[in-house]
Amino acid sequence: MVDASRTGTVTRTRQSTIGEMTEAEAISLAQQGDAGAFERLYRLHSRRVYALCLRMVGNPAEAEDLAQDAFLQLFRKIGTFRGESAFSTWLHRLSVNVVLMKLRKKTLPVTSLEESTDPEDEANGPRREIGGPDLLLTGSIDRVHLERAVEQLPPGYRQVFVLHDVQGFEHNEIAKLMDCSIGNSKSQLHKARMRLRELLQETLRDIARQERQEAKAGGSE
Amino acid sequence: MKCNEFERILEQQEGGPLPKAALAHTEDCGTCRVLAADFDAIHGLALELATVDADPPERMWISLRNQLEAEGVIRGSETAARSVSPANPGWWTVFQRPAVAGAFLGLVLAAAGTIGYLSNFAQTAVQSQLTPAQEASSVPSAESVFKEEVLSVGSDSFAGLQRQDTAVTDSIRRNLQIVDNFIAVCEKSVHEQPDNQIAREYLYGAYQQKAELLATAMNHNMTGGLQ
Repeated sequence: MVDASRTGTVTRTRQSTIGEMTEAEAISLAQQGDAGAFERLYRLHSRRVYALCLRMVGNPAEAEDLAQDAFLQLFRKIGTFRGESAFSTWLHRLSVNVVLMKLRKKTLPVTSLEESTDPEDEANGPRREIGGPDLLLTGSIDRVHLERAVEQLPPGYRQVFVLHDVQGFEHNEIAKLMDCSIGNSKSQLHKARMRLRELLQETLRDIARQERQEAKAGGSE
Repeated sequence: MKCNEFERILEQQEGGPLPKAALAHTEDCGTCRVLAADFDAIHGLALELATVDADPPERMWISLRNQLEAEGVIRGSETAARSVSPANPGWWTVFQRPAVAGAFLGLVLAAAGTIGYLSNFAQTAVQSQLTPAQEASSVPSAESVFKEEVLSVGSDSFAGLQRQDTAVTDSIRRNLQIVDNFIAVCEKSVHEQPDNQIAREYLYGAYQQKAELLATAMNHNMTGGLQ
């Protein structure tokens, strides 16, 4: 353990010890300005934070800016962290706040959760594909399919879906974060899931069509 | 229950199992049963997404670190390096050379066995020439006197050593050379920093060690190299 108080200045952490530092040690040293400690915290959490930002905005360049802003805010405030909650939880919530605040400020399309994005979605009953059966998704889709479908969601739907189904926020928390009612949060999530279902069913149909064509091409040879 | 009612229940559901009435509807309605199953599949895969991270580009850390350093949030990577560096780099760097440090340690160990006799010899050589007031004076006068004594003894000792060709003689000769080099460095530091007491103490120590070695050489000569 590096004792930064003994010399009165920050003792430089050797590169070889950065990877061995526990999160608690890194937090303590980072609160004293140690560069190696900051890097350790970054290495521990950057992938998760970046992934969250990427899923919420769907754009790698924007996600990079937002993740960097999240870490900047985190490290500026690290002196106020008292350990009442898990550091990762604190960082997670901070990251979400940063993303949402930036989305409000920037000209990125932010769907108001108070408005319906598609009037046709208000129709009674689940949508049915005319001329085609409802394909059962279970066992037919994987994480990659879902991730691609999420990228195609309208921004408002994507944000709520990522916050609730991926990140595990409750509707009351989402309502506070996005400045809307709980009812609207639930409504938007439902619409997001319905849209995802449509996208995934289209994906399955495309896959089935391609397989038929390949089988046909193979049979004619 | 109608399908639109089932969908409203699905929308308001906050995790957990569906109400009995809704479950009963799914037993009769294949469309709603598939809808509920699809929502479960999507939710299950979404939970997997949470565990999948993405690699940010390395430039993100570089940019972040530069920003934090500019704001002063990160401190001390350069300050710490300077804070542990020696106050007198010209003097202390001598001991950072492993060869000199090792030779110095070897000389101390070699002289340990004869230090009682040799210290008397050194003190007598100085005290016979200096008054207490002169002893407390600046280094140059004490240095010059002691140096003369050491050189005079040294010349005799070297002459004796040169007449003999033994392993002990070679060792003494090499050690004397090392000590001479060390004395030269010490003298230079004292000359450059006359007020540096530590430098003077090291110079005294170096002279003492040379005296010890010369005494050893003298003793070796007297015994004809038999010791």
